Amino acid sequence: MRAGTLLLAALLSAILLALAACSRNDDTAVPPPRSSITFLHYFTDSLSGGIDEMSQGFNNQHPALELKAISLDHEAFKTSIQDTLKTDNPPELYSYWAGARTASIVDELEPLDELWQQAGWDKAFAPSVIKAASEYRGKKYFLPLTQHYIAFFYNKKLFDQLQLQPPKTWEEFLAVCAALKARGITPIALGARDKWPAQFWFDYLLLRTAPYSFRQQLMSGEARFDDPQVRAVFARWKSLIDKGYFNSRPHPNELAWDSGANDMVFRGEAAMTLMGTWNLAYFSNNTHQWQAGKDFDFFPFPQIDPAIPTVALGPIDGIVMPKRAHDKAGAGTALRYLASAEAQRTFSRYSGALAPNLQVPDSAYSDIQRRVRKELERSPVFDFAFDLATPPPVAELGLDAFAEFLAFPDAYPEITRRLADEAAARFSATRAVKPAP
Amino acid sequence: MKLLSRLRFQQKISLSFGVLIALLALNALVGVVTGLAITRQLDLQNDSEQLTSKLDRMHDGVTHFVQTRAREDAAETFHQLDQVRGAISGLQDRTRLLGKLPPVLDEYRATFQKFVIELDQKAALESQASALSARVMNDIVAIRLSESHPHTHSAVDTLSDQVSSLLWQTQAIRNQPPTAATAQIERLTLELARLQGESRVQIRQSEQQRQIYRILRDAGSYLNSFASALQYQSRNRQTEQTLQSLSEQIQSAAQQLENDTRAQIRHSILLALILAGSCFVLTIIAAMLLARQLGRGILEPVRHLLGTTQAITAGHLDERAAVHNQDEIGELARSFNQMADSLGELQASLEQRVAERTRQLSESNAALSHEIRQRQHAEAEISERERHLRTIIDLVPHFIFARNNQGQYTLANQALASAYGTTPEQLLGHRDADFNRDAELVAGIQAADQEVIQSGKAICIPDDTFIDHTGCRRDLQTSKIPYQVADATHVLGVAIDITELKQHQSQLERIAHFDILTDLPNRVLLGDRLHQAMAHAQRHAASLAVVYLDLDGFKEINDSSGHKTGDRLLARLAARMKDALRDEDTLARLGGDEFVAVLQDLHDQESSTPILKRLLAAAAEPVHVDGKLLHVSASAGVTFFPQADKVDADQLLRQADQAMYVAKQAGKNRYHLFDAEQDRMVRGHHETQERIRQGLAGNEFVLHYQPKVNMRTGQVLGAEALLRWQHPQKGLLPPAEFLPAIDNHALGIQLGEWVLDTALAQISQWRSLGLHVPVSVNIDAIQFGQSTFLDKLRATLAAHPALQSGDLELEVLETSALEDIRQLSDIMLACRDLGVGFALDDFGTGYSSLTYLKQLPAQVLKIDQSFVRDMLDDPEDLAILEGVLGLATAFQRNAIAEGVETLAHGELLLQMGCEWAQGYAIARPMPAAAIPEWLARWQPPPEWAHCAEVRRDDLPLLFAAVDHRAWMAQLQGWLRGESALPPAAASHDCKLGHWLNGDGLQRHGSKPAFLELASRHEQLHLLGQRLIALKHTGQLHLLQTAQEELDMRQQQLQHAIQTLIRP
Repeated sequence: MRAGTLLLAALLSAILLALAACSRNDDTAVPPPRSSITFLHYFTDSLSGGIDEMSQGFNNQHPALELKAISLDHEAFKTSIQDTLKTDNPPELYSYWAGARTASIVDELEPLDELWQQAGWDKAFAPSVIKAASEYRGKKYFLPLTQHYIAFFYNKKLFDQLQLQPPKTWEEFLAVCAALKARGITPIALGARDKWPAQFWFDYLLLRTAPYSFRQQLMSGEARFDDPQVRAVFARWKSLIDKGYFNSRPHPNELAWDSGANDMVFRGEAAMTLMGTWNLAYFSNNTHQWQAGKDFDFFPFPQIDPAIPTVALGPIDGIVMPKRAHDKAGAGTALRYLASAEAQRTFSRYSGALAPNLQVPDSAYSDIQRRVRKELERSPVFDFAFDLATPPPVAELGLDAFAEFLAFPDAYPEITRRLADEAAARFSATRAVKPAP
Repeated sequence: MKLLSRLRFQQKISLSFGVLIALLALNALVGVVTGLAITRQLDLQNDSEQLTSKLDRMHDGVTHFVQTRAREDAAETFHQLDQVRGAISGLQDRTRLLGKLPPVLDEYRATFQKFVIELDQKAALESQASALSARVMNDIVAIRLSESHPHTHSAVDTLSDQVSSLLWQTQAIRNQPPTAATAQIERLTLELARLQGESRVQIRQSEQQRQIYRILRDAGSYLNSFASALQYQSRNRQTEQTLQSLSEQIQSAAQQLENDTRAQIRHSILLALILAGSCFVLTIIAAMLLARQLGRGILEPVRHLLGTTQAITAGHLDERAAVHNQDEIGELARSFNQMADSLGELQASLEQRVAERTRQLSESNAALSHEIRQRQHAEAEISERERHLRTIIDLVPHFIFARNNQGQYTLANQALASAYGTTPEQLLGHRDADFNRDAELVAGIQAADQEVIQSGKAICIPDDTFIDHTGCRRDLQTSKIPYQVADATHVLGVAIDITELKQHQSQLERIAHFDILTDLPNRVLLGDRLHQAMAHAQRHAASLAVVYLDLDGFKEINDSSGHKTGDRLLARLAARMKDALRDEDTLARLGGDEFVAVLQDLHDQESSTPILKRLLAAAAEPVHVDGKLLHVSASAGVTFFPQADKVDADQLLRQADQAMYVAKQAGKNRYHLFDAEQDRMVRGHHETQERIRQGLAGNEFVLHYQPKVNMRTGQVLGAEALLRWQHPQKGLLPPAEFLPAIDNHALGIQLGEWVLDTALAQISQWRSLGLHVPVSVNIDAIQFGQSTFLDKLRATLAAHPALQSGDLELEVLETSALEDIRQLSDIMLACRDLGVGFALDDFGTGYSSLTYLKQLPAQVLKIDQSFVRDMLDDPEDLAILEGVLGLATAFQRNAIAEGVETLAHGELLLQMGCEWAQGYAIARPMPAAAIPEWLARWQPPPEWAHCAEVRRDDLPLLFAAVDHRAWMAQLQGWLRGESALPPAAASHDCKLGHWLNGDGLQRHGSKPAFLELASRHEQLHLLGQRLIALKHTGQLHLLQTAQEELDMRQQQLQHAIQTLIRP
């Protein structure tokens, strides 16, 4: 009897356990499928810091979505993107350069105005940034992610030794250069092997001597490159070359901007170089370990004509959404996150760039970043460097012309005339393909 | 188990079945669940296999694209990727076995995208490089062809060749491994840089220098692009490898999924089998255990019980069942034990009771022999009592009898025997038929007897009949009851002689329906007959008449000759009237001297006439009663049925009564037919009443005022308030139009109160204007008779504080005043104290006795206008007037004449000494608003002012003058053909003639006016005679002129009379 009862109880509990096991198996919640948002970006190498953290932050907040950031060499964004955009399977998001490059692909992009309105991004970004970077043909397409600033980066120890102050005017600048030259130090290092670093000189010399409106006309093909104001820029640039203020050996066209020009400054062979704020990361990296404000610092390009309002220069990197993107809602959600002060702050911490989002507090920045921010705020206008301000085919011509000018400074009248003719031809070709709206 | 043993048997069974059913249900459940689970797993397996095939297809697609690098292949691959992703999403909801497949797949997709882009970019770079190389070659050709310095030219040539060869070298690099290729490119770049430097030295011409710079620059760009393309190629390869590795991961994951799914299915099926098997085994075991448990719980105790039962049967009464279960078996065992206990006790008590019985039996034996002795004694006593009883039965005056089945008497008492004229003994053994010759009666008796015998129940025959030996029929009330003698049933009966009772009863019935005095149907029976007759008339479309008769002068006979005589008279008249009717008619006496006849089956109303006449004649015929010849008559009212309106019996009687009253009023000894139309009109009053009520509420009534004056002095004494109805449709209505409708009605009182209140308000208003116009108001007797009249009057007076004593006078009809003289006089006295005067209205129309008049404190007598109006022509009215005036003088009351229509009336009144008057000659009734102006304007006619009262002695002349006017009127009426005979024409036949020859001659014979009067009188009569003659002779054309002369002479005569009378 006792044994029977025990058997009965054992069997019963076995059945119950088995049933429970079955039901547990059935009841266990399956995690919802995550739909992935592909984000193709060019923040490679030294620029890639922060992207992975941003993706992680997003994925933690959105269990139904997965932001998949995939890096590509930035060259890939310049040409083949035109093809990819037109396929039926573009990624949901691209990183891109604000300005003429975005303008060149805007036909294939999704307008973000509705999202912009909902997210209240008008409050998050400065009107000057929105105007310059986000708006194309009256609609918003571009979400700013980083903002860089082009300025002189100088060897502060050297300046201190020679008791030099960062110059504010053209005269002071020339004086500083003269003082440095006299001590046998190359005042200015220019590494233009990749062509684009030379353009900053053209840009700033033009922006400090000619009205901003002229530059806009020039960039859009309404003014010619052999205009006297342009020729004056080259003349002024040539005078600096003639005075030997630029490095001559190695020639700028053979010098890299980073390992070349930057390291000349680092070694004290040269005093300064005109470059973007990505130099902050370069000088602070493990190889150099310079301290900003102590070992090196920056100063804005000096004033030449007091009557011309200051214009700040620099690229703005950001994100666009292809018109044919599959998951636009998910992409929108990702954009909202990437626009947030939190995400942008994360990104700026690694890249050394400034976050365009105004809600990122000053406390998030280093001292030098704060000063950069102040400089930006001081300038009523912000615009992009030459190769991002004019259509890519024209930009290519310009960069070649700058290189030729560096090789043959005396030939600038001929070079500008030739540039003017070729650029005009390319502008008209561009217009023929895409009539201005 | 202990718990189980404590349960009841029924609960055990229930529990067992419950457990089994639960286990069966569990089996079913497990079967269903496992089935479902396995089905799901199989589905899953199917899907995962499909997924694997899709993955295979995708992989093929990618491989294909890597080979072809065609854009459409890329698109196809993307499409397959999306399909796989969709399939995975579908699976993700159902299984966890997918593992890292989804993320790897996403990674794969992204990498593939990257791969495609890199491919594109590489292609772009390659095309860029080839474009640059083409440009370089073009530039080289161009610079070689250009004009230049020979030195420069050779330098350019050398350079060009070097650049060309450099470019060609790159083609070889393309297939080298990446590191070697990079080193080669670096070498080439350095070479270019060297060429650039050399060119500066060798070429002096700046133009060529820059051209060479550009060529070298483009070549460098070409090298860059080439290097980049190479770089992309290697990157692309890396990406491809990544893709490859991802693909392998996917493959293995898919494989893993398939394996896992299979394993899971195996696992599930195994688990399901174990589960189902366990359940089944569990069920079997449980069933066995329960069966065993139940068997043990039932069989063992039953077996034990059986043994105990057999032991007890064998006589071992002390044997008990030792079962201690708590269930029903336990209870059975306990009951069984109790039963065995009871069995033992019962046996013991049985033995004890047998002993007791034996003792009791011997005791009762002794008692029985004692009782036998006592019974013999009692029997003797009973036979004695029977003898007594027999004597009593014989003494009872009612019939007591018993008969057997054959109707033979077995018992009969003296009373019955006497009725049959025999003795009780002789009656025994005989039947009724032996004494009774009425066979029907005998048969009835026998039938009743049989009924009692057969039914075995008592019966009562309340109207039994018996014929005694003298042949006299008697009424009996017989009771018969069945009476068992040995085995036969007899009838025992008692019959009571109720012959006298019956006679009494029929007498009472007669009294209830017939009048004792006349032996006619009374009111009750009349009602019945009338109802029957009405029903009969309706059925046969015939007519019937109801005649209401009231004897005229019967009361006087009753009063003078006594009731007995009256009664005899009534009986005789009733018999006669009954004889005057037909057989089908009914005559009933309602009481007193009132009778009703119902005449049936009349063809029409006229056919009732001879019967009615006979009826009246019968009533009017003199009757000899108690030696006197008495003479009465009858007034009859007749109504007929059916009528246009629906009527009932009571209404018919009322109508006939009403008509009888009319006949009485019309002079008695006649009949009057009820006029239904007139009756309806009378009833129409009701509507008028309602209208009057509305009129009163709607303020439609007004008061007009007719002044009363002293004709001689012109003094205005006051005004009489006269009620008028300003009817919205009919215009101004006099009281005669509406007052009859509210005669004797509460509305009359209401109206009277309104009149009083309005009149008082009017007096107040006049007073406020400075006018003093006392007002007299007519008061209805009903209003007067109200107990609250005085209080109301007081309140009304108080409401008008401006009034003064004597402002109000109440006029009461002389006729109504006579009805309750005491009450009236009390009220009048009370009113006088309030300052309210009284007048007796229409004085002269009643029969006021002087005594009454004396008692009434009315200060004014209003002479009825009918007397006044006719007094100029009617000597009788004048006589009444003179009488009234005399009364007034005697009782010191003021007399006022109403209806003074002409100056002549006024003059005559003044001559007779009546100065107060009211009438059209003074003023017509007028609205209150007109009174002030009238007062201001009115002056008495001068004739009146100079008219003196004649001396009493001359009054006969006045009368004679009136008489003469009457003669004149008579004559003129005859002349107009209005009367058959002319008045006496002779002058001495008229009263004036008498006066002239007698009294007048004595008193005024000497006066010339008398002589003139006498002569004019003579002439007038002569003229009258001529006129009569003219009419008789037919000379009518002369009549006109003669009549004019007659009028003139009449006026002369009257003038002469006045001249003589005036002092």
